[in-house]
Amino acid sequence: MTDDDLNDLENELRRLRPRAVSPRLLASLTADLDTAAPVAPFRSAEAGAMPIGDWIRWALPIAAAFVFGILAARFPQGVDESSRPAALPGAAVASDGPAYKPVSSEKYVYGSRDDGLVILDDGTTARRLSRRYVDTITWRNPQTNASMRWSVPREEIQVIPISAY
Amino acid sequence: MDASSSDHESWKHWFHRHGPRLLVCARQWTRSLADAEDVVQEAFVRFWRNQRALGGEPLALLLTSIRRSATDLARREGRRQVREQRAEEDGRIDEPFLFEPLADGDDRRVAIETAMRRLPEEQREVLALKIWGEQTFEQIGASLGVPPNTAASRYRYALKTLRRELSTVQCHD
Repeated sequence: MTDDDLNDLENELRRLRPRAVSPRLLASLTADLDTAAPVAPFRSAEAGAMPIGDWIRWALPIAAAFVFGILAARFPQGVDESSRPAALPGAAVASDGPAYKPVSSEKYVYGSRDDGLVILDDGTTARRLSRRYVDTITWRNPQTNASMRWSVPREEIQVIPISAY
Repeated sequence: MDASSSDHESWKHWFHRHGPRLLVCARQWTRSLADAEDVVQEAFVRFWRNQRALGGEPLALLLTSIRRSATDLARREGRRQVREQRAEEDGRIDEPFLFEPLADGDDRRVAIETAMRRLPEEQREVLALKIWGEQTFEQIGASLGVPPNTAASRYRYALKTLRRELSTVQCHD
């Protein structure tokens, strides 16, 4: 078997034309790509990937928790401000900010997505993973037992270089 | 080939040009044509939505992505594939061929496809990536996780095996 034999076979293979894709595949792609929401460019998707519905879902409880925390700190156990003894000058400053101490920190994963393979600027193939978190930090004022909870949604993009698949 | 160069170029136009070749390559990593279509669809949608603006060589990226999807599918549907493999080995699956019929007699095309199916997978995938995926041995090596020389060797073995198989068929004819 000579190199010419192999070259002839190689040329013969190159002349074989792959069949057109089936109507089933085209219909599936059409359903995925034509009827879906407009395709977002890759980089802008990275910048603001959280849908607006998610923002609303998380923002409202966060705002409510924040307001509740502030109110609880200002009016512990519903005591009327006017009935309290007058505070000494400087004491208010000391009790407002530093009195709250962080007591817990939680990270809740509520979504993850495999964006598949990407090619980095240096030509390296990498796998891109997105994870969505809500970080919740709780502060407590040991003097009044008031607590304040702060929740922030965030998205983490992880790019893992791979040698090959 | 630059999939991101023109917003006016629709995915249909792009897929019409390259889809059939992607499907031939995908078929080397899947147990059926239907599975090959599924992994091509998954990889292409991901590419068109998220990856085409990245630049680079789209076909190489897509082929690597298709291979990964095929591997994931094989893991997910391991048991089903075992059944299909057994059926395939028993010759009960009569799958459509991957290539267009040849104008000057179709027996040769049938013989080539049949011989290709008998190739070891590691040779068959390199052959498909080289001939129909139009990849270099460097790209094939990167995609498969083997050195380029290994990819080149597998390609040569594939050609030799095919040549031998086809010669045998001719002798019997």
